[in-house]
Amino acid sequence: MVIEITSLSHTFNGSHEALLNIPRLTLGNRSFVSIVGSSGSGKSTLLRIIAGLLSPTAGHVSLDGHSPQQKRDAGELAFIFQSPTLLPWRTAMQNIVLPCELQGGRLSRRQQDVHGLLSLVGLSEDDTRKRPAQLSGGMQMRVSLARSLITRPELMLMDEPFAALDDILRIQLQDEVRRIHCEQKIASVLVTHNIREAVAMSDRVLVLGDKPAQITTDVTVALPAERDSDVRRSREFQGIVNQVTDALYQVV
Amino acid sequence: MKENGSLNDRPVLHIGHMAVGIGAPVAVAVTAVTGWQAFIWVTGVSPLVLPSPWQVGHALIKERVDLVEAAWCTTCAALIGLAASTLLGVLTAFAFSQSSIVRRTFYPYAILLQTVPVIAIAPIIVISFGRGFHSVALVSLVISLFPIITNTTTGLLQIDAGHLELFKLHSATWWQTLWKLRLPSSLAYVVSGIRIAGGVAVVGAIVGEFFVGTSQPGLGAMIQRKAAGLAMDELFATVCVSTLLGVTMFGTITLIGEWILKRFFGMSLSGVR
Repeated sequence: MVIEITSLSHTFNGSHEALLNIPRLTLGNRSFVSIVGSSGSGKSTLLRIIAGLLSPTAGHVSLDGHSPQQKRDAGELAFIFQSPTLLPWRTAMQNIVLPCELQGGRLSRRQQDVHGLLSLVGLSEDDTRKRPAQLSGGMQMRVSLARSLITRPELMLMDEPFAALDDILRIQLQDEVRRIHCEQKIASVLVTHNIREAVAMSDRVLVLGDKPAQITTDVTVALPAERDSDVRRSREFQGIVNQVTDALYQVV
Repeated sequence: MKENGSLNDRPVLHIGHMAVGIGAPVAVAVTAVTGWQAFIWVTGVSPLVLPSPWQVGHALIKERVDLVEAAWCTTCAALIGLAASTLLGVLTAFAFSQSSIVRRTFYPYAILLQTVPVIAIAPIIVISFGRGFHSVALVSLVISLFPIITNTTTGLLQIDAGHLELFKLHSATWWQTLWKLRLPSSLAYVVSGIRIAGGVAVVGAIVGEFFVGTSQPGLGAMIQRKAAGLAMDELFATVCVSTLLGVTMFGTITLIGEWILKRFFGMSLSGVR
């Protein structure tokens, strides 16, 4: 899926200053793109506009020539929130199949794939019978990931999904999301303030400047597709991290 | 590697907490009764003014048949009033949650139910609807309505913003958002409202019985009869049963509500206490 953003501008109610100003930007096409920026720079707002959860003040977002709403209705767009946003009264399995229930008959067929999906995200049958309160933070995030994949999306949008997790768990989930992205060939956009996370997961890192937020730097991550611990420790990896850090320092 | 950490791995039942939960109120009751008895011994106050705990206990046993009959009658009136106020309160809260205009227009009148004293409402209802059991239940309904309206409205409106975005993301209909998100989300608030209303419904029924007349069975009428006859020990015994009834209603609704929430919805009342 290709995301095309044209003349995008967004101003919050009561503010005279534009938060976002992006003349033109193309993302996606099965690549993994991360957007980094300081807190409050408008990263999450940009992601919500791409998902159609927020209408921009001006400009246009096109997903393969369609509106975000059309792609959402077709179940081709997934969004992973900062928190797992699981419904506490539903079991993990009931949470996973919720999108199929909400989007009706046209997606019910996809529920049959649920068992393959569980092994993809590292959940056991036993885990799926538990309610969210009975699962750890990491397992809750896996359920959230499975829920976002149940509709077989072509675009996955992620809003700092690992921010609340400890370092080891965060790296494990980063690797797994990267693996799922490569296996399923899903276009992915990650918003994060963690530079190492952005470099470790992405094919491309965009640096978002402040007030109004605009893309100031576009860094291509020329690393092997599989990002194991050796890649994370490599000189090339550190070089790209330094490049993104310098670009971020310049705009903060 | 998979991370573990199921919260159910830990023992749920904390005997120490239970001991404190039951033992502390019992200790307060024992201290209060001991102090009461001590006050009577020290001051030598007349039983016509303040009977001793022993005399009240004796009256409780002596009047047990009448007390049980009166308590049953009051319980029935309170339960019917509570059931009706639950139905009416949830429907009203649903209307309030769907439109801010409806909420702003009618909420001040809902507050009136809380601010006008029950002692003022009860005679109006009895005069308007006639003496009888139905008027007692009606007083109970009116007085227990407000907690259910406010709690349920809060529950229906205080939905997690992330959950609402999730439903929007998947193009959920109005009905799906109500049925699969708003109603289950608000359940703990509804139960909390009903348990507060339960205690209030008992008070409403007793006050209603005051105005219906002494010929009517019920704790309110019994209190009136005992006060008129200056039977202080029996009056105190009736008041004790009335108090116990309110506490029992509150506790029973809490236990049943908590069990339903935990068993079927994996939720607890603790968030709305």
